[in-house]
Amino acid sequence: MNCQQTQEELLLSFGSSELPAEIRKHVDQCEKCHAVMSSLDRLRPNALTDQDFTLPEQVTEQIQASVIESIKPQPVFSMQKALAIAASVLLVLGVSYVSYKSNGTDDPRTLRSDSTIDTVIETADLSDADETPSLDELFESVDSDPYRSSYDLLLEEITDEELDYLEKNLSAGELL
Amino acid sequence: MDEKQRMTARARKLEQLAQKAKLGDQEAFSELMKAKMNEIIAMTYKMTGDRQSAADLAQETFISAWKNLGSFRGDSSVSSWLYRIAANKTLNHLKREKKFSSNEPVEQVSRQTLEQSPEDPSRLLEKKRLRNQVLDFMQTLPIQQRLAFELRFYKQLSFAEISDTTGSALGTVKTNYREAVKKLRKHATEKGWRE
Repeated sequence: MNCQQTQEELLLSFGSSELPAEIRKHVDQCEKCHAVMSSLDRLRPNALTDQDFTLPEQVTEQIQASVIESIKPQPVFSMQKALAIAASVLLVLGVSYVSYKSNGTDDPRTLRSDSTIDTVIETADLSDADETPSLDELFESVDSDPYRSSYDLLLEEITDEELDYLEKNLSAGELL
Repeated sequence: MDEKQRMTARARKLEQLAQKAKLGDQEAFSELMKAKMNEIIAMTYKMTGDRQSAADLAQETFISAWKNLGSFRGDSSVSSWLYRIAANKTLNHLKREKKFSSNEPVEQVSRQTLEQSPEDPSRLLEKKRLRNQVLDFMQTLPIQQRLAFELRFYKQLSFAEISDTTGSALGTVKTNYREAVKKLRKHATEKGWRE
């Protein structure tokens, strides 16, 4: 390694605590390069260290506080809050729907608006219209009703002659 | 524990803090910031030569670091990563302000330091003189040489780390540093720096 190369390396090593062995060997043998190294060594303290370029403690504390303030999570519309509101809305809708269903279909005494009635008519299944029972069928169904009164049964079993006799000899009040 | 072991332990601690901060731990980030604040301020101060800009840039650096922690993969040390952010912020600032060769006095800071420090006033005055000398010199350097000098001499990064941090080629980084040291010698001679 010649003097020029060594001095280039000395410049690169400025500030470093370790000098490559090859350069050290040359410097130890070369007066000129040794002088360069010595001048760089003397210059070094003049460049100071990082600690000599800090700002007063209260300034750094202020910077830290500003950074902490800046990185704090901002109060935004939180997911938790959004869920709570959504749950409330669903609850209200659910209660309204259940109330509507129970009032609108199960209780015939409840007054419904015209629009509700129209809706019911419109949505009714008209395909069963032909299956509407005739009057005869209705009477038959009444006849087969097991809950008819004993008076009805008595009238069925009596003969025409017996009925004529009863009509002639009993008053209407007694007959009923 | 010797100096090298202490530095290794400190570096390991910083990496742990960075990993915790990455997971959203603000306390860890705060601790990391406290540990690195002075180094970042010293860097931005020497790079800009201006106390207020140094403070603003340090603040921006840490805010940006917090926002971008997700991109910190740990390929480089957390210190190098922070220096990179600080360097980018500072370069942008200098481009914006067109202050590549400006020189601002630091009298106010020096006076404050004198008033607050219990150190010997004559020693503080000497430090103030030296600090102003360095700040003057730093502002004379082209920006890339200034950055190379800052990262190599003051932050003790290797040339490879500087290359990684600045995105410059290794040869360019070495050339920049060598030129900066040459200029330092010349500047010291011309300005009559005490040896």
